[in-house]
Amino acid sequence: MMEDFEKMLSELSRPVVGELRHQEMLAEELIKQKAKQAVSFWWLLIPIFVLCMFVIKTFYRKTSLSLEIRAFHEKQPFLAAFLFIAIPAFLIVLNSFKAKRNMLSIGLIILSLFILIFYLMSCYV
Amino acid sequence: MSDSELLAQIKKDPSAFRELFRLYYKPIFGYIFRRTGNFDDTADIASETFLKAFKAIPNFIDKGISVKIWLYRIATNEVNQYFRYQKKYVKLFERGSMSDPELFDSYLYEDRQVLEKELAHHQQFLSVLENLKTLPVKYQEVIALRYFEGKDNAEISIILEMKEGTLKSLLSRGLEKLKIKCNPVYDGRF
Repeated sequence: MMEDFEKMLSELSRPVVGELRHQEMLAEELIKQKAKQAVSFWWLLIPIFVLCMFVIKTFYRKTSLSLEIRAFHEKQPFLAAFLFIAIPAFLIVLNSFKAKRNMLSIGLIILSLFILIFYLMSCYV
Repeated sequence: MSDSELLAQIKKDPSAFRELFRLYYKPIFGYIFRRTGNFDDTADIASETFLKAFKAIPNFIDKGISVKIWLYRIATNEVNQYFRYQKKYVKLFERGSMSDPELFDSYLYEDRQVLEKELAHHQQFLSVLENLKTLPVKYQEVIALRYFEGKDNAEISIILEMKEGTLKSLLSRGLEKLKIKCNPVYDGRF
């Protein structure tokens, strides 16, 4: 009896999907949405930057970013090294060895390099 | 163009996603439709499936499975979520700023009419589907892939990432349960 049931299921006529008129417009919409999401990610860098500035400002108040970083480095050398060397270096290594690099990983490498170089120049040059 | 060439092309130029969509939207839409039996839910789940696939393409690592199988896998997960949690999708058509929403709605309306008519021509399928939907999702997915989509065991085990032995026992138990559910409908003749 189970064989009959299986046979019936195998031979069951099924609804078939023909041409879908909405298909092309939906494809365009998905491409548009993806592009929008890719752009919006970069806006996240602004709050991250502002947040970093606030963190620095809570420790030391001066006029230029370079001086502030140097003062922060003198006041909190280990924390500064952790924030401006260890984390950026970790992000660079992590994203450089990723099997599949995308815009996010390339962006993080560039941003981390920038932070690292800026810190070294502020403190040691 | 092979699957890997197409994916590489999409990574370089996202607008090449149109080609993937052209090749696979219809079969995936059909699969979801045959699992839910509902046009509106199918449209939402299918759009979510392709949006997820599109987002995942930059991180897609070629493990020797075809794009179609990969899309079946994503679609199966989405349909399972829909059944498990009655997940309500935020409609893509409301989220996006369609260039011409009225035209899009009219296309959807036409497609719905056609597919609802098509579904109505397959009453036996509908009866089985309604019974199948009362079973746990783990049985639904294997039975739907085997008997509605005509996939063989090897393909199903890749889609569902399970061993063939597990698949066979799920199929056998699922069929027994479905047969019991279908008994009032199924009298051996169909």
